Amino acid sequence: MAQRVGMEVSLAIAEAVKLANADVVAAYPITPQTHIVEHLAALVADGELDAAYIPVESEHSAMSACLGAAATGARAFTATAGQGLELMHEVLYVASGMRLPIVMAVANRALSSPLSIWGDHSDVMAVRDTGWIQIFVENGQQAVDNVLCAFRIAEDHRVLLPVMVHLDGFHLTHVIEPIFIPDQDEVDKFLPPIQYPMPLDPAKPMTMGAFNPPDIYSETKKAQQESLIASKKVIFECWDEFNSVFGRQYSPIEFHHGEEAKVLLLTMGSFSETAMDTIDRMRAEGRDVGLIRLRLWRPFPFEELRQAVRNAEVLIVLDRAVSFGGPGGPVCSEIRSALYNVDKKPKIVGFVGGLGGRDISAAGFEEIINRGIEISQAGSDQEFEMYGVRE
Amino acid sequence: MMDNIITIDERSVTEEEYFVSGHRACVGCGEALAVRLACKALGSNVIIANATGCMEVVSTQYPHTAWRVPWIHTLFENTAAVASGIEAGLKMLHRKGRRKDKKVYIVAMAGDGGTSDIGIQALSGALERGHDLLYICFDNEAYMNTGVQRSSATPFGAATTTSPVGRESMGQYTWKKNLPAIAAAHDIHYVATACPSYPFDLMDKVVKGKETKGPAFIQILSVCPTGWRCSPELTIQIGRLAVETGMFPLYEIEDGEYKLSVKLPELKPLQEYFSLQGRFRHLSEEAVGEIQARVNRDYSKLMEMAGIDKN
Amino acid sequence: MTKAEGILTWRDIELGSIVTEAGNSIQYLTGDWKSQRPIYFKDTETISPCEMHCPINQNIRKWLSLTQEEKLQEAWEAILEKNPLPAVIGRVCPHFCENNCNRKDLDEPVATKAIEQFLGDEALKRKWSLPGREIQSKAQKIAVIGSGPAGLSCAYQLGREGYKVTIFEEFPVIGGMLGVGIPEYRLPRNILMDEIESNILSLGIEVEKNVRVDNTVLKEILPKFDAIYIATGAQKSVRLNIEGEDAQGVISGLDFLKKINLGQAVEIGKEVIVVGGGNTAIDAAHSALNLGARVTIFYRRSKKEMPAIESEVEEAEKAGVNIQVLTNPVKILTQNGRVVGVECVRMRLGEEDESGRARPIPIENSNFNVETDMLISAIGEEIRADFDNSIEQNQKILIGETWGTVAAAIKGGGEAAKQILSYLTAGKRIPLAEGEQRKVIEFKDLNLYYFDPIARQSRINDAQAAAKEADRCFDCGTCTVCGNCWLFCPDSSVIKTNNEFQFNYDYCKGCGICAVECPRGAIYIKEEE
Repeated sequence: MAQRVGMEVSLAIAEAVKLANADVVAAYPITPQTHIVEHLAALVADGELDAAYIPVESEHSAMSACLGAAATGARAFTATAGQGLELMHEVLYVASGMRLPIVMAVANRALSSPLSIWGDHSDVMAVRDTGWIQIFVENGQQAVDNVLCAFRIAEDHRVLLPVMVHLDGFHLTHVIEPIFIPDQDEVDKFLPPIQYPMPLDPAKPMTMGAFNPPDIYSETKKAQQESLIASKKVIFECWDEFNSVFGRQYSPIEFHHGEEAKVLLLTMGSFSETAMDTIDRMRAEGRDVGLIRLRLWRPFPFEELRQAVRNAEVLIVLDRAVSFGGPGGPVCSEIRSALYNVDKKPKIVGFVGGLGGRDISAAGFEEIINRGIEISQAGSDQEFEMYGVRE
Repeated sequence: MMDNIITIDERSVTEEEYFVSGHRACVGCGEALAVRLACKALGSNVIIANATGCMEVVSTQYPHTAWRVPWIHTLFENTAAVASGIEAGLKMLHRKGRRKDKKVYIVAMAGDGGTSDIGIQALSGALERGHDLLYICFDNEAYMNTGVQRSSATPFGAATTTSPVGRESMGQYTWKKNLPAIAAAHDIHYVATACPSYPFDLMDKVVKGKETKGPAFIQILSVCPTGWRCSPELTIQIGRLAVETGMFPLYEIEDGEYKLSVKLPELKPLQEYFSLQGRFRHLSEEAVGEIQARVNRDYSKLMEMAGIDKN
Repeated sequence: MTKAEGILTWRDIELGSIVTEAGNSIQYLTGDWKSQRPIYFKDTETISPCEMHCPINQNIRKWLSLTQEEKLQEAWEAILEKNPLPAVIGRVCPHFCENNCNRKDLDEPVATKAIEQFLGDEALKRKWSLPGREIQSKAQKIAVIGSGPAGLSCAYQLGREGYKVTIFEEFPVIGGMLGVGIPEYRLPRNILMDEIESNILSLGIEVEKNVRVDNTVLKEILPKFDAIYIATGAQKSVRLNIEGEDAQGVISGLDFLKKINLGQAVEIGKEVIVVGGGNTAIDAAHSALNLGARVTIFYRRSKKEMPAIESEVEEAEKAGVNIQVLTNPVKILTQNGRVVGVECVRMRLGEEDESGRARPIPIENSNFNVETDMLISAIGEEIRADFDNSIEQNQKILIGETWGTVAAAIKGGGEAAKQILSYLTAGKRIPLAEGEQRKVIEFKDLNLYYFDPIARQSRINDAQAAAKEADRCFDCGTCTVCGNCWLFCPDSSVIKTNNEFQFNYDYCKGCGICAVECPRGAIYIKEEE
């Protein structure tokens, strides 16, 4: 029977990687991911995880080493944050372009300059288009569960794409939470051994990564796009299967009183947990508000989103990153785009907040909701508003 | 399975080609020949990680490939890191019993740009971590594939497109980075330089490198008729002159000990080497003299390190 | 993987740009790129300097190559294609092969002459028999007038084809110049006779000695033969055409040597002067020295222009013969019809004359006298006019020329045989074809990196020494399947089939590395049309 323990989320993620019997861990430390790689090192050192631990000399090499390992058919894992994610940027495209099932935990962190080690979603948004499957978690349990799911999804022969599991830096990585750590035999039932269909093998020599001239590149990219779209089905299957084994169900979009409410707030990541308190409090006062929690970021759940907001009149989107000089919050602009052609759609108001580790309290969320309703009625001369900035 | 053998001068070379015809290397490409010979020495039981560069571009234009061994390309500067991952992955798969094949040799192949400049970090990391792999740098002394731009392996005085000759410039103004010394500084067991003009020496060194436990590094001079502006039929001759003039000495560093591979009673004058290549044509007598002095000095130092008396 | 038209759709993409068909780049024929192509010379397309300068044009590369492998009998058989007298040639030839051997520019020429001698001697020692001979299978009969090298060679070539040949020789010994003109120390009599017997007469060739065929005899024998070859050579010594030439004690070099070789009594002076610079002069001088005389050679040009074999000149001088160059006799001084001295002038060298050598010009008022009791004149040989002009019209009769060397005479005899063959089979003599232009392999065509200097063998006494020396042969222009071309091709466009290499023009880009790295110049580059 699974044990429920109080554990720092970073350590719990490492435990999940251990349960998944990863073969290769490429590790480069960066705040606030360090505890993940440190704990993995300890697990390997103690013989609890039988994996090759490669202390690479940079994140670019971390992802590169994962590529090499995955290409041989090994189960590869790494973790990074902020600057590290940026440094490995070009390699991320290679991982997805080469259809290698690498799993990476990203402790979302703000980007320099100025230097900030604290959490926001800037690093995530910069890798939006890299072709990875991307899942957001809101607490430690979800982190553990989705790391396990990530391996299964990535390695499914119908998918064969890398997966990022996003968790807020410090807000999640460094907190101790009550978490059910599954038993090994349960995990073994859920997660089969990796069987990469075309590994590097002298018995079947082939060339991986032949370059594409213009007359074929588009076809390769279309194939990649189609495979990412097709992965959605597998992701849902996986979550359903996870539920049947472990009793916890995940969905691309989850709700907190969001199914029927007229005013909806949309958050991603650890914000959702605080926002749930706000929703409870406001509903207790009779306000018709609800929370949409976006879990599956890529492939974007278009149908599920349209379904989720079909009855809403106002949709307030809170981004934790900003696209300078653009439409503001990346999530909000994607949502606007997803709903553009829908006849009956809510008014969409975008906020950016919580940058660089700035907390938003439960009361703060209430302010956002109220201000959002205001803007939906009176309009605004700005594309979006940054919440909580001292003027 | 017995390979067919061709005997040349009492040496056996496999007839098997692992880098086959149909690749799009330039006419007379020294690098293609170096790769072909290296692959004969490596055999079929290898996995090759290959950087962006001439070889990758000429040999793997989708849907064709000139490689008959498993081969992966990722990016430009990360070949050593990818090779490290392959090594680790294979090690674990063998250890966990999920792969039954015998030991597979892992070889990273990259050019001078991808090794000496942008790839030096990944190389250093891989060497320091002690992965069991062979890293071969195919050195054609510039970024040839992108149009002959200088690298830190471009020799002093050579003209390239980013170290051109002009009123204010006489070409490359720095001396070639000493990659073997850098590799040896990582305390690895085997470092060597080679050149396809000395084909058996090259193949022997590749075998030695592959069999070395831990990391091994070989730098192979690859004559580039296109970039060096020399006649394609002289590729072997020019490679030989590079060695005979001391511009590119052939040696090994085994556990820190230097060993010269080719005994040269005296160095041929550099002018013999320069005169065949357009990239050196602009050099004044004075400049050649300066380079000659440095080459002589460096070669003397090398002989000293190899424990060879100058007399 | 591809559709019928060869166009890939996105559904054809396997995972991320993976090519599963290893080495399928061979579908792309880079051979289309080339603007020039390498071609291996065929054996018949090149000629090495040795072969070119050999008067017999022997395929020296072939038999040296067989000697390298110690296939001595096969090497000997290769010589016998064109030359039935290797033991002889290996002793008397001026070795133009060695003088022009490409190896001389690296270290020293291959000792081809010594190897030829060794092979000839081995054949005699081991009694090797002639390969593929048809003895007397044909009905036709041929008469050869003269048993010198030309006649012997012609008889040999015809005899091999199965024809009945009869040689008519005016002297009691056969061999012509070989028998009477070249001294024993240069060409031992027993070797000469042994080789003539083994290699030539064993074909069933008849010899009628002591028969001088003049006009009358010729008319007699004409109806008895189907073809006649006149190979009498140059029997007559060229006269000095100076006063006193017919005095006693003045003799031609040819006559002097003939007498010695025929075992006749020959008078020898104490102070002998020999006039001339060719082999006859040297042979006569050396022979006179051996008979106890003090000998001086007068030659009108300088040492450099002497046509005699250099080594023979050196040996004669070492033995004690004096050579006075730039000296020409103008009058023989006699007393009572006997020579007592000779008046000479000093000469100087002027511009080139018709022979390509500097013209000798007498220096005015430089006359001087020398005492002598015997003068041997050896300034050249010419044809003795034994027959009248009518024979020139008769198709049945082939008149031979004269040649300056035994080797050239052997070639001449061989070519005569070819002409007679065509006359006998086709009814008329076909003029010999020019032969295609062959590429002469020069020193610069070789790649010297692949050859180390090796000392020349001082003696060729046994098979190992012969093989070792033959191994020094560069094999100019001949592919020895060394493998360099295969090894150095960046495009793997050289393929080995059976025991030779071939170019795969489907992929060859024409870089030319193979041609440069071929040690022997066996590959040439041709521009594409």
